[in-house]
Amino acid sequence: MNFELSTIFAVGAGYLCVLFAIAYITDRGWIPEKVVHHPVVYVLSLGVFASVWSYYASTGSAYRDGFGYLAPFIGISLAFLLSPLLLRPILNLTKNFQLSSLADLLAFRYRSPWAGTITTLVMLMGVMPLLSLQIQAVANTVRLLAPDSSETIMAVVFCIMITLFSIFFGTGKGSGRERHEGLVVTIAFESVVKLLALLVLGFFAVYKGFGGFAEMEAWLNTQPELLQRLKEPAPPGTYHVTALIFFTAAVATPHMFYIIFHENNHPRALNTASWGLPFYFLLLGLPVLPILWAALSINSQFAIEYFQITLGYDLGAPVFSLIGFIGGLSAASGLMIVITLSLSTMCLNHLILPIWQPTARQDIYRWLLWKRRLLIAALIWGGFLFYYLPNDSQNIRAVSNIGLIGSLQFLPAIIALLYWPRGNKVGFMSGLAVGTSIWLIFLFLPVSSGIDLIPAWDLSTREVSAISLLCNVLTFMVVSFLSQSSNEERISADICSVDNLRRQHRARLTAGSPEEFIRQLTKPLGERTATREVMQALRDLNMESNDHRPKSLRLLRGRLEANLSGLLGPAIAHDLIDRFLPYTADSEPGASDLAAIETRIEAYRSNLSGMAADLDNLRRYHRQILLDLPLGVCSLGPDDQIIMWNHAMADMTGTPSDEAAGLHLSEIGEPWHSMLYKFRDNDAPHQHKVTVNIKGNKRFISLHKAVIEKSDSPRVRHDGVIILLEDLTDTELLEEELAHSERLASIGRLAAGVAHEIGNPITGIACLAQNIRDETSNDELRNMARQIIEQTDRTSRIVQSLVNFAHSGSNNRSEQRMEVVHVAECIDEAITLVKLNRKGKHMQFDVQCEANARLKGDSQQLLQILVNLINNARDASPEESTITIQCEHIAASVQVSVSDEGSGIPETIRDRVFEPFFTTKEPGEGTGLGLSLVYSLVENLNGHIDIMLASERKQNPGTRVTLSFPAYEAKEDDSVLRDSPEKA
Amino acid sequence: MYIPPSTLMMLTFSYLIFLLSMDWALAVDGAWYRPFVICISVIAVAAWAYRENNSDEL
Repeated sequence: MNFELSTIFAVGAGYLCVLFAIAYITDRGWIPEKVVHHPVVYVLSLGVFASVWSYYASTGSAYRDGFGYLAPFIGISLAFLLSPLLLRPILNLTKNFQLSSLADLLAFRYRSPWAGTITTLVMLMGVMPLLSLQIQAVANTVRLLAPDSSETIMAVVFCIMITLFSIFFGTGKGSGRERHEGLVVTIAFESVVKLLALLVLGFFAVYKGFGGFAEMEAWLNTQPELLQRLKEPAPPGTYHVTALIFFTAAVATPHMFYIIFHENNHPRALNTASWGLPFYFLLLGLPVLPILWAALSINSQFAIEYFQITLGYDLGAPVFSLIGFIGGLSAASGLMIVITLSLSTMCLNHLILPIWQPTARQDIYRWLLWKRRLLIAALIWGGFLFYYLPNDSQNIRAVSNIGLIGSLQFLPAIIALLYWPRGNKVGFMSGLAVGTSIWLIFLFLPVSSGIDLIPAWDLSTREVSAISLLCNVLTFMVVSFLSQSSNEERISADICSVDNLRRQHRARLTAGSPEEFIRQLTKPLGERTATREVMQALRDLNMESNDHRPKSLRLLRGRLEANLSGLLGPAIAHDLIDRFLPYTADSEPGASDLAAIETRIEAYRSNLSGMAADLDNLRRYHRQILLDLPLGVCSLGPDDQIIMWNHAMADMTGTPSDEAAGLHLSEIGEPWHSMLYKFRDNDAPHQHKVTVNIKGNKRFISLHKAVIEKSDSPRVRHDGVIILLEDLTDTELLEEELAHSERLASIGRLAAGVAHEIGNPITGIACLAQNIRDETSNDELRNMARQIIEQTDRTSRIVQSLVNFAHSGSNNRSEQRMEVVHVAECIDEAITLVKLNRKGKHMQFDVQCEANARLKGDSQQLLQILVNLINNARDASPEESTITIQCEHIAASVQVSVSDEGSGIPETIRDRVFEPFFTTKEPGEGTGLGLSLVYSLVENLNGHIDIMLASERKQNPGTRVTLSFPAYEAKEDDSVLRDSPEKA
Repeated sequence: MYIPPSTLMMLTFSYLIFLLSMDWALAVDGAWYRPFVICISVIAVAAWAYRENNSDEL
C-alpha cells in the first residue's frame, strides 16, 4: 500500500481532533442533556472493551478457532446478561461509597490498604501490555498504509495526542468524583465509529469480494476445510476458560470497571446495557467472517490480523483501507484513554497516597489533579516504552493476552464480596498471591521474558488458567475459614453482601454538629477542603447545617467517608474519618440503627418473595399498628435515642415522626423532655394524669412504660424503653362538665324542695298581711301590712324562680313540646315582654334576624331564654343604649347572639356565671338563677351557650352571649313533627 | 441468594435454546450465520426480561 504519510497523518490527526471537539462541546453543554444522559450513550461507551484486540485480532481468531472467536464476546456478554446478580450490586456499592476502581472496592471490602495496593500492582502487570498493544497496532497499521513512514514517530504522535486528551478531558477538577461526560460521549462516538467501520467493511467484503451473499455462500461451500474448522466443536473446556476470563474482565479490568461503575449516570442505564452491550458485540462480531473469507478468497498476502486494513487495498478500493484504519484508531485510542484514567486513579489511591499525602496547608484538589495528570502521562509513556524497547511485536500481543488471564485471579474475591461474607482479608490476599504466583511462573514470565522456572511442567495456557484459579479459590476459602475477620471487616462484609442487611453503627459521635465536623477535619485537610467537603456532604444528604441529631450526624459521617473515598481512596478516607471523627468511648458496638435497616428493607422490598415477603408483610402490619395506635408510642434506645415516634405522638407533640426518630431525648424540647426523662428514670411503670402546659393549654397525660431487656446475642442490641402516652385531656374535661351538671341538678332538686317548703308559709303570710291591710283603718298598720306583702311578693318571685329552675333541670325531654320555632318571632315577643318593664322602655333594640332561622323545640323555653338574656343585657347596659340581637343561619345551626354595651363580664367570674345563686347585681335586684335557668333550657333545646368576654371584644367591650341550636331544615319529615304529642 | 425472576427466566431460556439448537447451529451443511441467530434470540429475550426497570436502589 502506498498512501502518503501526510494523508495518513491528516486522517489520524483529524480524527483525534474530532474527538477533542466532541469532548469539548459536550463539556460546554452544547449537546442536549437528554442525549448525553441517554442509556444508549452509556451502552456505546461500554464498547470501549472492543479494543484492537477485538478489532484486528478477531479475524485471526476466527481463522484458527472458527466460532471460538466469539468466546470473548460471549464471556463479557454473559456478565451483562447476569447484571442483576453481579454488576447491579457492585454498582450500588460504588455509587454509595464512591469507589472508582476494583482496588478501591477490594480495599473497602477487606478493610486493608494492602488489598488495594496488591490489586493495583497485579492490574498494572496485566494491563500495561494491553496499552503497548494499542500503540503497536496504530504504529503497525500506519506502517502498513504508508511503508515509508516511521512507526516510532507515529507512535510518539499518537501517544502525545492521547496524553493531551486524557489530561484535558479525563481529570476534571481533581476531586476524582465527578463524571466526565465529554469523555463518555467521545468514547461512545468511538464505539459507533469502529462498529460502522466494521459493518461497512463487512458489506464491502460481501459485495465487492464475492458479489453478494449468495455468491459468498457458494464460495463457502467450495471450502469444506474452512467450514469444518469454523463449525468443528472445540475440545471440552477450550473456550470455557476464554469466556470465563472475559466474564471476569467485565469487572476486573480497570477500563471496564471505570466505565460501568464510575461513569454510570443512572442504574437504569445498566438495565439497557444488560442486553444492549451483548447486541453491540454481536454486531461487531458479524462482519469478521465475511472480511476473513473475502481476504482468503483473493489469497491476500498480508498478515491475517490486519485484513480490516488490507482488504480495501486488495480489492482495489483504498478508501476502505482508510475506513479500516479509522476503526482501528478509534478502538486503540478509546481503550488507551480510559485505561490510563482508571489506572492513574488506582495508582494515586493505592500506591502514591499511602506513602505521600498532601499537607493541610496545600490545596488538596490541585495537588491531586497534578498527581493524576503526571500519572496519566507516566502510564501512557510507560506503555510506549513497553512497545518501543522489545523488538518482538508478536511477544507484545502474547503478553497482552496473558495479562488478561491475570485479571481472572480477582474472580473469587469479586464473587465473595457479594455472596460470601465469611471471606476475609487474609484469605483474599493468600488466594490472590497463590493464583497470581502460578500465573506469573507458568505464563507471564515465560511469555514476557522467556524465564521458565519449572520447565518440566509443560502446561497449556488453558490448564494454567484453570489451575491458578482453582488454587486461588481453595486457598481463599481454607485461609478464610482458618483465620478470624476483624470487626471492621465484618461490618464491611455486611455492607457488601447482597443478602445481608447493612448494620449501621447506632452510636454517638464526639463531634456534635457539622461545624465541629469542619473543625475536626481542618486538621488533616485544611479549612478550605474540610468546609467544602462537609458542605458537599450536607448537600448530598439534603441536610441542614443546624441539624445536630445523632442519626443525621452518623449519616453525615458516612457520606463524608464516601466522598473522601472518591477523593483519596477508601483506605485513606476510612483512616482519616476514624481518627478525626471517632465515635464516643461509651458507644455500644452492635447497636443497630433500626431506621437504616428499615430503609434498606423498604428499598429491597420487591426482591422479597415467598416466606421473606410474608414476613415483611407481617413486619409492616405490626409496624402500622404501632404507628396508627391512638396512644402515643415512643421507643428509646439505651442511649436515650428516640427510635420510634408514632403518629399519635407526633400529633400530641407537634414533632413529626421522621424528625423525631434519631433525636436524643434531650433534643425534643420542653415540656416533653422533662416529662419523659423523669418518667424514664422513675421505677413506677405507670403515672396517671400528669399535667403539662402546652402553649398555655393545660393537658392531662397518663404515662406507661415497658423496659426491653438486653438480648444475649451480641448482634441483637435492641434494649431500651417503650413509653406510651395517653392524652386524657378530653376525658378530664368531660368529667368536669359532668360534675358541673350533676351539681346543677342537685341544686335544682334542693331548690324545688326549698320552694315547696317556703312557698306555702309565704302564701299564708301574704294572705294574713292582705287581710290586715284590707281590714284595719290604722294607717301605720296598713303601711306595715303593705310592706309585708311587698316582701312576700319578692319572696314569692324568688320561690317561683326556684321552681322554674327546678323544673327546667328536671324536664323530661320526651315530654317536651316539639314544634317548629321561628326564632325571629320569639325575639320580637321577648322584646315586647321586656319593654313592659319600666327600664326596658328606655332601651334601643337592634334586631338583625334572618327570617328563615328556625329550630325544633319548645317555643316557650326559647322565649324564656331570650327574656332572661335581654333582661340581663338591659340591667348591665346604661340607659338609652342599644341591645343588639342577631340571629343567623350558619351551616346546620342557628346562632342567636345578644350583645349589650355594658362593662362586660370579668374573666375571673366567667366560670361561675352559670352557677345557681351567683349574681353580680345588688341585693334584691337579682336571684342569681337567670343564667342558670338559661343554661338548663339551652341544654334542653340541644343547644350550646357561650359568653364572649369583654377582653375578647375590641369594638364593643360589653357582653355578648351566643346561643347555638341545631337548625330545623324544611326537608325534615314534618309528619314526625305533626304526630309528636304537644305537651306543655 | 435472591435471583430476580427476569434473570431466572432469561437463564432458563438461554440454557434450553443452547441445548436444543447447538447441533442445528453447527451443522456443517447449515448456513454460517445460524449461531448468530441463537445469540440474537437470547439477546431479544434479555431485552424483554429487563424491559421493566427495577426500582430497587439498594
